[in-house]
Amino acid sequence: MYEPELELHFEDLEKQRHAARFGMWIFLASELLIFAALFALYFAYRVHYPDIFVEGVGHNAKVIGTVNTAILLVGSTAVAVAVNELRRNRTRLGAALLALCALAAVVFLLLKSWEYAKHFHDGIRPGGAGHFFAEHPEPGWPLFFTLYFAMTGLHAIHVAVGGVIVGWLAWWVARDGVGRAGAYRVELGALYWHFVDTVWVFLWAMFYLMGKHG
Amino acid sequence: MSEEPQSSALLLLIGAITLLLVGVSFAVSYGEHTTWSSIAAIGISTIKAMLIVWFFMEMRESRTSVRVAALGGLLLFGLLLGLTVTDVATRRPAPLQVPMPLHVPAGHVD
Repeated sequence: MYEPELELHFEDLEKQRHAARFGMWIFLASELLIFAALFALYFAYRVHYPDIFVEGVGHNAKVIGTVNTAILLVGSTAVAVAVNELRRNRTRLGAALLALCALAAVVFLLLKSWEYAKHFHDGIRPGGAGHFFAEHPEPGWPLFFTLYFAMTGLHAIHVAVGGVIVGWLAWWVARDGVGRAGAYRVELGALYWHFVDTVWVFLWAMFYLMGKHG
Repeated sequence: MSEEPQSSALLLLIGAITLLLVGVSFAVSYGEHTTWSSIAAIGISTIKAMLIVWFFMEMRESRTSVRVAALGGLLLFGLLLGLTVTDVATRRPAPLQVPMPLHVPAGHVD
């Protein structure tokens, strides 16, 4: 069974665990500010081009976006239960749930890739490139879709990173027999995954729900 | 934060509630689009986010220092978003129009 080592600069494991959690939350707060800039741009341009942003939502695959939301939430639930079960020393169950979350990341990215491919096929590319924008010359269209690609693309990178982290944690938990003592380390990866999930529930509303349905 | 395991059934229930809220948002979005439907979409997303942060991220059991870090990030997020949107919604002439005017015509006086 895995036992974490007490690092030199900590008096006890409790302080070490708290420092790790606190550092993770500081990191997540800084991550939030990266997304904040893009959220601000989205709402600023939506104020200026409300009709195009409402119409633009209709060009996105709402059902796929909704399925992806459900997939991320299932992943979040799995990873939350995994941490809880590891605290009960249920190593195998914890590893299996973490692997399920990593699988959710893979499925999410596959569906997102399909969506991007469909947009490219429809002549919708970042920066206003593609025949769609020749047919829709109003300046709000490239803004809507460039923000769509930038925000969902940045988020997809986070999903990929989260998937790798959670997948690695599943492997580590199974290999080293991580239980209650090491659960806090898994918890740090879980926090990252939950953050990625939280960002998506807003992106889903902004790019798939707040407008006309196609 | 408590190191004690909590009820996994509670976590599964929270997961089920978030999925139910996804269904509600999805159904509402097929109604006529209004300002209120947008507010509902963001509002339901906010509820989902709060459930995730409170239960899954265990904010309800976190120490004050962790809560301050999270609230600090949220406060800065709100300030950036709020001030930006307030600026572009109220400034005249309106900023962010594309294409931006490249030059002021000679003799132009505001």
